[in-house]
Amino acid sequence: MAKQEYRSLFINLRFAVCFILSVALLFADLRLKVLSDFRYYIESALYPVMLFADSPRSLSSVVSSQFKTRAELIAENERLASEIFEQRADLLRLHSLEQENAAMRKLLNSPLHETSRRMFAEVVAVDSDPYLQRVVVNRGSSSGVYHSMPVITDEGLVGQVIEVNYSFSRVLLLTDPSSSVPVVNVRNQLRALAEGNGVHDELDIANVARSADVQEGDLLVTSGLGGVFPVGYPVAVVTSVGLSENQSFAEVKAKPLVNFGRLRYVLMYWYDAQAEGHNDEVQVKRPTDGKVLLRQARIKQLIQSMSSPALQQEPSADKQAAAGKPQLNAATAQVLTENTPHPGTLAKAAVRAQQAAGEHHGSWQR
Amino acid sequence: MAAGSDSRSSYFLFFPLILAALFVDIIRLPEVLNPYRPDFLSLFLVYFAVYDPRRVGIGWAWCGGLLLDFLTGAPLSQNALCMALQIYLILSQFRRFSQFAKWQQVIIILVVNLLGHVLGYWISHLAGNVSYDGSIVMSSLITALLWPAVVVLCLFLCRSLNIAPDTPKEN
Repeated sequence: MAKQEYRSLFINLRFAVCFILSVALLFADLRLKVLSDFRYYIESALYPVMLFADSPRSLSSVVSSQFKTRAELIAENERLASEIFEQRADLLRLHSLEQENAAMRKLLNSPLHETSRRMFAEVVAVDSDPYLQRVVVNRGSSSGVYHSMPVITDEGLVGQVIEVNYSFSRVLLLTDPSSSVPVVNVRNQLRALAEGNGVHDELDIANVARSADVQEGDLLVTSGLGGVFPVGYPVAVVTSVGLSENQSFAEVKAKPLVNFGRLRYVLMYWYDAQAEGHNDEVQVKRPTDGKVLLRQARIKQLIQSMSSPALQQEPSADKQAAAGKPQLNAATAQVLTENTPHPGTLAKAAVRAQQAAGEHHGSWQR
Repeated sequence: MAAGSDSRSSYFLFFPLILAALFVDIIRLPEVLNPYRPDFLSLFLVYFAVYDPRRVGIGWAWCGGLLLDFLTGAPLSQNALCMALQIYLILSQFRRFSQFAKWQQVIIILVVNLLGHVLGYWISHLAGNVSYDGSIVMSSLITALLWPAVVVLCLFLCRSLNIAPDTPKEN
C-alpha cells in the first residue's frame, strides 16, 4: 500500500515538474521571445529531417513525371511554347508602358516605382499542426529572406514570411487565423480586410457594412495599405455575401485564388515599402517656410490620389479558365476587360482596372 | 512478462518507433485529409508507458512532444505538455490499463487524446492562433480506432526482437 502511494506521488511530482517547465518555456517563447535564437539554431539543424519527411512526395512526383507518355510531353511542350509566345508579346508592350509610366511619374514629380527583385522557392513542408496554416519554403536568411516578406505565385498572393531560419523560412498563409490582408475591391475600390479562418480555401472579409456594395464574384486585390504587401496583387474572389438581420456587419466569404492544397513553387518578393511610401515625407521635412511646406504637402497628397498605382509586376502565367477556380461576376469581368485590350493575366488586368478607377477618381476631384 | 537473461532493453524499439511517428506526423498530406491526421506519437508513447513504465514515462513523452514542437513550428512545449498530460492521465487514473478489454482501452484512448487536443487548442488560443472546427474530435476518433493495430504491431515487434520490459528485482 505504501508502495502504491509512493508511486502515485512520484508520477504526480513528475507531471508537476513537466507542467512548470512547459509553462516557463511557453512564457519564454511567446511573451519574452528569448528563445528565438535557440529556436533558429535547433530548427536549422532539423531541416534535413523535414526534407526527409518530404521525400515520399518528391519521389512520387519524380516517378510520375518519368512515366509521362510521349504524346503528353509533346502536347505540354506545345502549350508551353504558345504560352511563352503570348507572354513575350505582352512583355514588349509592358516595357514600353513601364517607360511611359516612369516618364509620366517624373512629370508629376511623384516617386518612381521600381520593379522588385524576386526569387524562386520550393515548398518543402507543411506545418501539420491543425491550428496553423503555414508552409516551409527552402529559402532562408542565407538567400536574403527577411521577416514579413510577401510571398506570391503566378495565381495570386500566398502570404508573408513569419519566421526566418538559415536555410528555410516559414510562410504564414492567407488562410491562417492570425493573418489579415488589406484588400480592395476591383469593381468599386471598396477597402476591406481579408482574414483567414483556418479553413484552407476560405477567407472572411471582416467588418463590411451591410449597406456596402459587395457582390458574389468580386475580385479582391491587395491595396498596399499597411506596407507589407505590394499593391495590386489578386487575393481572392467573393463567394458568398450573407446579410442576416441580427448582425451589424455583412458576413462575406471569399475563396483565395491560390490553391493552397497544391502549392509547390512560390516567389519571394522583395518589397521595400519605405522606399516607396516615405520618399516624399523625407523631402517635405526640408527646412522651408511653414505655409509653403503645408501647400507642398497638399499638392503631394493630391498628386498621390490622382496618380495610378504601380505597374510593378510582370505578367504571370495564369489561365483564368482553370477548373475549380472561383468565377468572377459579370461586372468585375467587364471592368477587367474594358481596361484591357487583350485580357491577359488577372494581375495585370486588376492593376489596369485600378488605374482606370484612379483616373476616374482624379477627374472627379478636379 | 518474464524477462529472459538475453532480452534487449525496450529503448531499442522505443526510439526508432518514436522517430518514425514524428516523421509520420510531419509528412505532407492533402489539405482535405490533414485535419484527420492520426496522432501516432501519442499512441506509441502510451503503449510504451503501459508496457514498460519503469523506462518510459512522462519525461520521455515530454521530450518527444518537444521534438514535435520544433518540427511543426508550434509554440514551444505545446505538444510536449499535451503528450505529458496524456501519459499522466493514463498512468495515474488507469493503473490497470493493460488488463482492460480492447474496446475499453479504445474508449479511454479516445477520451484522453481528446483532452490532450483540447489542451493544445487552449494553448494555441492563448498564443493567438484561434481556429475552432470539429476535426479535433475526428482526429482523436481515428487515433483511438488505430490503437488495437498499434498494440498488435508493437507486441509483434517486441516478440520478434526479443524485447522485455524492465522488471523490478524481487529478492
